[in-house]
Amino acid sequence: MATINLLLASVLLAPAAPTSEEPQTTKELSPWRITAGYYGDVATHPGGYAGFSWRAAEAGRFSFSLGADLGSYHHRRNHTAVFLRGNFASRVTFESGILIEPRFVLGYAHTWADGDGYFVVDDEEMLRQRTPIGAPNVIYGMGLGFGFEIQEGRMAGLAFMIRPEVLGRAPYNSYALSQFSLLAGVEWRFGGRK
Amino acid sequence: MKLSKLALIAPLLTSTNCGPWMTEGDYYHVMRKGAEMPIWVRGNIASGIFLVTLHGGPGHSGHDFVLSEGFRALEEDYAVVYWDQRASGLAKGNPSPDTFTLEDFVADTDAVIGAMQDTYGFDEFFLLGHSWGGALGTAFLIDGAHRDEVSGWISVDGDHNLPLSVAESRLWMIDTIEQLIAENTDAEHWSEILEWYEENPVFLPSDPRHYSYLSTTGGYFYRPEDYVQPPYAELTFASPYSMGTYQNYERSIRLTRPLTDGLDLSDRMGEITTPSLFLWGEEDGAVPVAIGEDAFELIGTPDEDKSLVVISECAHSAHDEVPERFTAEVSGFIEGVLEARL
Repeated sequence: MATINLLLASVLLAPAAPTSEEPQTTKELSPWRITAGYYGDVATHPGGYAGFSWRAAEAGRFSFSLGADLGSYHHRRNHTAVFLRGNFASRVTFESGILIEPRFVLGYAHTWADGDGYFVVDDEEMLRQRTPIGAPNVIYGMGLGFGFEIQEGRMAGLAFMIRPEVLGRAPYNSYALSQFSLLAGVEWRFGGRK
Repeated sequence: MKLSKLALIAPLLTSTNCGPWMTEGDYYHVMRKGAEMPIWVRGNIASGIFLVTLHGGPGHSGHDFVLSEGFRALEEDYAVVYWDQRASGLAKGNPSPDTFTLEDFVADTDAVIGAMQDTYGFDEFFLLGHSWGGALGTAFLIDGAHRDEVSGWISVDGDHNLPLSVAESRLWMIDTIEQLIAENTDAEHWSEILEWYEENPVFLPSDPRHYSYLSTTGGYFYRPEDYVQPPYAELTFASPYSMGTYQNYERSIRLTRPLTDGLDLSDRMGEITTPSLFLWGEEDGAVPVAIGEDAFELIGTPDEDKSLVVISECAHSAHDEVPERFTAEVSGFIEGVLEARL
């Protein structure tokens, strides 16, 4: 709970924070970023994601962004998921290039059971082997990203991020399943310098 | 440097999909009335002898049996079918609360058996139920569509009459507490708990307080110090287990409460004539041996085809506590049934 409060405070209070230092490089770069990397359901069930974000507002070292990502992961013998998520993030970038970014996500996931065979019992209690059609899920939650953004030179705007997330997925056995994930990847401000 | 580190981590993470939990045996799902129930078939499939298991709880996982030396030893000679009941263990989906009836649990069992018969082509099989799985197995032997294909029934500390089971468990607990007080072992604490039992002569099978007290007195495990914790890290990060496995239990208890509270199959047990083994821990506090004796008397199986084996220095789970004895008794029963046919 304390972590959630910290994340909320970070997002809500960020605009009011002092803006004495404004790194030049941040201003010079495009507000658009593309992102891609490893997506691990509970860290170890492997997958990937790709997406974009758009810096909607900026105040000194603080910025807000909106984005979306499309991804997938595979938990062998449990399920495979494909997801599309929107996100809202608040980022603080220090002069050193180190950045911290709390982020909220909301999206859709479609999950398919994984195994050597799938059987369905229909309404007439007839059992047949089928290809699973999958199940719809709403996913929501928050993450805290840590990263490093190169500030100068030809690689300026390239950032490395690692982002643990706490997520809910519903419906799941008539409740919302709590789980966590780990994202590790890169971001690139495309469009170059203004 | 950072990229090279990422390159090292990626195969490590990916390899968690390739461990024994992910590769051994065959793995299936059955979807019925919103519940997506996983099935794991392990062991000696070529033997053609299938043992279908029914886990306890409700809300536990059949996958947990794989952690037991007793079941792993059985896999050397037989194909063992482990599966998770609706909203239990690794089961997924979103079944409606009104599908948590005994009829649905029996129909789920039929679906699992049907799917396995379609896949492996066996006509007959052995059925084993532990704890709550004993009640489900009993109901299946009475009403299951595949009940006539059961070659033999093995109840391991299994229920059939939950109100009686709770009453016997309460008496076991009172005896145990009185012994602890007499030995002056944390007498003040146990006196308070004894008071709770005296004030509550009747409580429901779903009452969690009783079972939490049981777990601290050896009612589940005769030598609690010998209990080995499951390898949670491996299960969480490198097995089919999900975070749902840990969250399903409470939900399952709630959903099955109307089913378990008051469940008594005594009146119809005479209809069962399947060869049966009742395997009990003498020190079982959760489903005391009196329940095994009651089931043994009530079942309609002829005397020569049924047996009650009571194991000393064992509580609720012979497969974990005395695995060699468990394997010997179950194997002996299966071989005996098969030999009797020759």
